[in-house]
Amino acid sequence: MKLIRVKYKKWFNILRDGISRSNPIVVAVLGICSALAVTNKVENAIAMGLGVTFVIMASSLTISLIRNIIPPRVRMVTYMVVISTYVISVQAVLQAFFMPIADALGAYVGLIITNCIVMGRAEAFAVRNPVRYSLIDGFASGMGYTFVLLMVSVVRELLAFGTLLNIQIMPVTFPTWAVMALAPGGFFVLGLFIWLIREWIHYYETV
Amino acid sequence: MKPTVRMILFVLVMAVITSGILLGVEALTAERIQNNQDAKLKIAILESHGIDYTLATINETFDQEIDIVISGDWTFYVNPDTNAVSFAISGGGVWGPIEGILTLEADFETILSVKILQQEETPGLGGVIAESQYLATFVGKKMLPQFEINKDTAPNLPNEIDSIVGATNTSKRFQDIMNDDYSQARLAWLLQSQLGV
Repeated sequence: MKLIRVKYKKWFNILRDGISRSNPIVVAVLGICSALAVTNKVENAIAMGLGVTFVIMASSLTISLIRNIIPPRVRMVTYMVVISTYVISVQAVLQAFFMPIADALGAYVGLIITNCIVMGRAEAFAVRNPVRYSLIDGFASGMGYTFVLLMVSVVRELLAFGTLLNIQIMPVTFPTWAVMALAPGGFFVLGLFIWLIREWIHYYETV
Repeated sequence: MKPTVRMILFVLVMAVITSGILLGVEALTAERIQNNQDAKLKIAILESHGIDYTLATINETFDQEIDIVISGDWTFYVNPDTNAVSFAISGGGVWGPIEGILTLEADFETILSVKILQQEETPGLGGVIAESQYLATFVGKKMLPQFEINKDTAPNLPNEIDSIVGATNTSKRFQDIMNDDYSQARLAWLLQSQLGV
């Protein structure tokens, strides 16, 4: 009974929509640039996914907290300043206290500033919703982004390198597909994945 | 309060708060980041020379096993047992600076190791420049007459390696960094070897 009731809770719907019906990559087609760049290996996809999820949650929390005092004309600048502050702080803390992780993430952390999903959630949700729902929305969008990145990267890494998380999976004799490590391979797999998910959730764009 | 005045006040307060946060984060982390970078440099040099170390004794091992020779603007890190020499290389990549350590054998010509300390190349493409599998292809190659990273399919000469697939510009930039810094470092090394300068 409790499970059935959960379906009617606002938090559950926000969470479900962020991962499926309003998935930032599949439905909103946001964050495509970074999705293409980092999905050639699963470890890159995990690092980018977690980093983006944290920044969306933190920036949504902040924007939601100050939503009633942001002047409309400078709201975009405000989002940008908040997002940049979080990303730079995260980068500094990682470099100071978690050097191996900072090395593994490399340029990914800095690239989060340019990820339009973060600003998209601030403008579409956090600026007009209370803190707790904004946090759930940030988490859901981040997880939706991470889910797509993971799926695409699994296919690309297997075909391009024959490995998963750098562990050899395919037979050594498997002829690797170099194109899957490159941007065109990302376009193919991401395009196919967007099509499959849209069919699954019955999302069709009308002209 | 007028909307314009309110907006200006808001922007100023935002600027002060976010700048304060960033200054605070920097004050808390700057020293540790510098120490981490020093340790990273020492680890890269020790590994390049095949010297064992533990994380707790990086500084002591480095001081015992590596001699530092300064010539002009260049700092050379010499292993007195093998006479292999390391020095820092740096320059512009496609998206940001690339910094690394080039280690040469005693002939100051054959590559013993290349390590990347910092790079901001495209993840998965130019970023391959920092991967150990790719850097292993540099070992044993010659810096003279000129080091070359090739994108053609012809067999590599002793001074050539293959370029990174899909990242021609990063390969070209890194080739230039290595050659430019090597030619300057070689002059400085020869000067100090022959004249003791």
